[in-house]
Amino acid sequence: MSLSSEEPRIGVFICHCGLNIAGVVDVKKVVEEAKRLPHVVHAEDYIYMCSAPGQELIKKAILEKKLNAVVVAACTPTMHYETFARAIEAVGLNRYRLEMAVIREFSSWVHVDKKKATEKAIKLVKAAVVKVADNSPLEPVKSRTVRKALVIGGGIAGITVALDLANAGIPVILVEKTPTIGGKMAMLSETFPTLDCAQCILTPKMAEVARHPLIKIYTNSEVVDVSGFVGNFKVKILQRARYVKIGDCRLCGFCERVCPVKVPSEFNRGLSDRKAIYIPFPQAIPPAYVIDKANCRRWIDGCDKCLRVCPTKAIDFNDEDKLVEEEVGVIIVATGYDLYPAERLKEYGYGLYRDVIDSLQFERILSAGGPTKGLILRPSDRKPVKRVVFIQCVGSRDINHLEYCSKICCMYTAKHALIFKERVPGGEAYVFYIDIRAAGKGYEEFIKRVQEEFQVNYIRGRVNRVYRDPKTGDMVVVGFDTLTGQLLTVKADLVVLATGLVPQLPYELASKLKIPFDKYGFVQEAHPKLRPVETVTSGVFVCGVAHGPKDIAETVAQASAAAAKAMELLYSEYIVKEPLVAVVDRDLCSGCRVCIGICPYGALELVEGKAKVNELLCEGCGACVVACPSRAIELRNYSTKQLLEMVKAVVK
Amino acid sequence: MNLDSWEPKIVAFLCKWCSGAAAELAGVSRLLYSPNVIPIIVPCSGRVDPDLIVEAFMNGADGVIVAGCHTPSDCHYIAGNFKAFKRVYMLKKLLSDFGIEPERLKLEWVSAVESQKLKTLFDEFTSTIRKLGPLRVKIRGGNV
Amino acid sequence: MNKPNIVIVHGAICGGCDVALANSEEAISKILENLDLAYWSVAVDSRLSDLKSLGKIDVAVFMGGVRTSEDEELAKWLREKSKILVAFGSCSAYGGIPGLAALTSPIELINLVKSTITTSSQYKSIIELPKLPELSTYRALPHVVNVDIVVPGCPPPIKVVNEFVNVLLKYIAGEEPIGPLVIAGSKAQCETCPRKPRDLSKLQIPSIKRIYEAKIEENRCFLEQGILCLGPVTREGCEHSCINVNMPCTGCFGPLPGFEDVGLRYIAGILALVAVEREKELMEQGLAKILDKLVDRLGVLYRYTLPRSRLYMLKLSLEGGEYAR
Repeated sequence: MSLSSEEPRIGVFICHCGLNIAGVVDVKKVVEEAKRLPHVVHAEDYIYMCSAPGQELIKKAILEKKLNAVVVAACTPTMHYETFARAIEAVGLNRYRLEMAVIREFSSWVHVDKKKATEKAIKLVKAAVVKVADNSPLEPVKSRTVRKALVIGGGIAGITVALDLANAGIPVILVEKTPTIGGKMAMLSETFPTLDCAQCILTPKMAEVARHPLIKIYTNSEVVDVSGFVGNFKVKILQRARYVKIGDCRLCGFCERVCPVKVPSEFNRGLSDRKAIYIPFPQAIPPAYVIDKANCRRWIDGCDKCLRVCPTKAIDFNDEDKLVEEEVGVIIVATGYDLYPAERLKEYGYGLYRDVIDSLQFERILSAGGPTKGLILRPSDRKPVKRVVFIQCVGSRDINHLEYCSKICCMYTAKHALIFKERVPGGEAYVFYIDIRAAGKGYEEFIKRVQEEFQVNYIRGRVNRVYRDPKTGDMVVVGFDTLTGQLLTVKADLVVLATGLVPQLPYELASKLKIPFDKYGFVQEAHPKLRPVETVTSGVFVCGVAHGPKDIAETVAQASAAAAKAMELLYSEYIVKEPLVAVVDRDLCSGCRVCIGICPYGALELVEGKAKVNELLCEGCGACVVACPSRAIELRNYSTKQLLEMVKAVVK
Repeated sequence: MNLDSWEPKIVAFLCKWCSGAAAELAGVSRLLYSPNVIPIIVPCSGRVDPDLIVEAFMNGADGVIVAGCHTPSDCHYIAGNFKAFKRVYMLKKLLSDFGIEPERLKLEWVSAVESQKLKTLFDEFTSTIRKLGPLRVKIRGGNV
Repeated sequence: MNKPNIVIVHGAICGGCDVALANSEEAISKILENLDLAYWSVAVDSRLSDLKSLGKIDVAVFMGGVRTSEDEELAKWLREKSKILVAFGSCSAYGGIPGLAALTSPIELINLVKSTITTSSQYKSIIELPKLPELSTYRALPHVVNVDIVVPGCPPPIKVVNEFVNVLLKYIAGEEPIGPLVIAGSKAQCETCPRKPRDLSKLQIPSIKRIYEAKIEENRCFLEQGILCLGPVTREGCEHSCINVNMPCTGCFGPLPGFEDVGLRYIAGILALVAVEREKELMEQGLAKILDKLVDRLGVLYRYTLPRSRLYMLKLSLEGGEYAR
């Protein structure tokens, strides 16, 4: 499959590398033996092959002896493959018709017995000669890129990526599942450790996204299909009907007042109600109301109260779901998180008692725009909270629920406790914890301040039970203080659970994107240390909590990193790839599909019943070549035949 | 075969990104090791076909090493090392079924910085093969 | 009568190939019409001496593997004497099921037989076996002599036997044999397999199940259900007779063109694919546990092809003699 058409004429060049090689290996003997190898028509040695005169020797021999393949026995390819490749290209020989025999690092530098080192060097040269004889003269694979990016998820991660890319001149399509961008950060009251008002730092960014000429926002939308590959993705976006014309809505709110339907508000996490026609929060982008079709009575009894009062006729019950197709060059996944269902931890009574709430619900209570206008009142009877108990690690670090640490809970619980103490003079706050994780900049100091200056009571131990005392109506928290060794019973008005984070990436979307995810659903990065925002699928990136639990600062950093990586790809006109990829011989393929499952990159697919390699996705690992039961796949310049010959060459 | 002059012949399949890089580092660090081991660099340990290993034994090798990147996550090509593991695991059992000592085939994970580990691997494996002797087969029931 | 003659000869057999040939009405009638059946010990009364006294042999059909020195001599004699030599049945072509004994030495085999004999005689310790022929290294026919046609199958199905006879008649009419010709497809069973996988885009093998452990769904790919089917490494041509009755392929049609070792291909591909989505979770330990479910490695991977395998060739080469390294 990779045989060149003409008879190989191989030149072998042995480098002395000063005394590095020649001091141990008998280079003259290697030249002699090389001359006796099949297809070798020229062999010589020189003191420094990589030097200019050394390279000239190679070029001269290529031209004079009409060589069509070269073996350089010297150092490693890492050092000088490029040097010699460029030398041979300068006289018209394809760079893939070059092999290096590593007789320095693999022989002269690691053996003292000169005879044995020489024998080994000869074997390494033999192997390189048999390999190069079958190397195909390849050209790099090229493919054009569509200079456009798709960002899935409109939270702070998605917003950051979109702005970075758009400000660099790249058109962005931002797709958000809910009716507004902003994500979970929009629900927060303040952010740690500076206690910035979350909305104040977020909403200007949201507005920037809205007015940016290069960003197109699809809200109330989901990506339902992805096909193609890096540089040329085709995506289908399902844009659900809003029933309100965005351009015409003036946010007057008359419709909301007359709507007869009340349902729990998602934005306030059930602590208050919203109407069937609603705006998630006043600063929503796009700035427009939306009708929740599932709960609206229009389709039950023809209710049209909102339609009648709308001054700009913005309401359109004839709106329909649309399927939009877009072409993009890269995709960035920023789908964020939700909280683990705390009702699964039955001992804490979430869902049973209205005064046991999760951390996002507490954020809504703290929030000036929230259900209690910033007053800390408990949900059941709106009684002002004087005593609050915070329980950390709810669901996290738990072998029965989430084995990992959700990273941000220690910090936000401390923040919650601080704000509570500030707003409730004489209030008491208790925090049940296992460990305190405060590794970021200023974080440890923040915790100390909360414990010492704000005198929040930190109790190291787990909570056994939470229940309501039927006589007094108090919440009762029973926990163990490991530092004093005592069982504690704390009475409180409100219990706040620091619930673990779980990723929100839908399984179908991950499959369509061909990106792997770990057992929790977090997207798997290409390399945990060196490639944290790339996935194994070329052209698909990830950032934010979709990748793993992290706070806002880290999310923004990762989002900018993803944008930078995307730009790297989009700013080249072509994507150029090393052509050392796998190739399928369709005449031999039986369609057994073993190769498709083995490939970690999803580079193989079945086309008309036979396997086909996508050259842009193939990374050349060769796992499919070994796996094919029919030996229908080969790896360019690393074929099974070449390797068999190399084995024979070194062992015989 | 003159057993006095016999020297073990060992082929080592090293992956370009981890064990091969460790071999380069061993060279740069001038770590001395047994010349009985000849390396063949492959893109990934997942590229090592069981046929290649058997071919090595057929043509004169007394021992074979397959060295790749550490599991679970070091493999440059994501999971080629797991494929190498499964193949070598089964091949070792087959070797034993056919009367060949499975210790003659060794799978090891060596990262790009573990040049010392590679040196030790080569030296120790050479002495293991030296003790086992040249490749021969024990027929079930006794006569060789 | 100048009809060309045909002899049908046995090595280590079970009798199934004779039955298969006799059952194939079309083939057997064509043979009897066009050829002179000079020797077939199950059907025609004749002795080995009659065979040896034949002047020339046009077609020799060898069933069974080469187990004893007698079989070996016979095979070599036939090759010398015959124009066309046929390896009929998987035993002859690849070694077959008796091939699984190839790894046991002749001495141990005899001892095994001796140890299973029981007698009511009071002189229990004195058990004598009748004179046995000398057991030599077990081999498939093509490893002893060159063959012209290979008819795989255990036993060869009727369709294949009929096709074999058609080819035979063409050769007799004068067509030049290009051997060895295998009367089977050159693609794997999967190419025409009637079972459809759930996921048409890729094959996933979540675990290994032994046949009794799974409630086998008909019409669904075996491998997807964890049942080790040798279809991907086996030639087609048998019309999937086993697969169609809810049993996985065991590989009697032998390896694909260009291969000898079915087991090495299987561990390289199918077994490397087992639990591929859970590798990082299971790690080496968990994966080893799953692979250990394949208890009878030789029986599954080399049921019919052990004497043709590369590993067997390695073993023979290490024992010296004609295969020495």
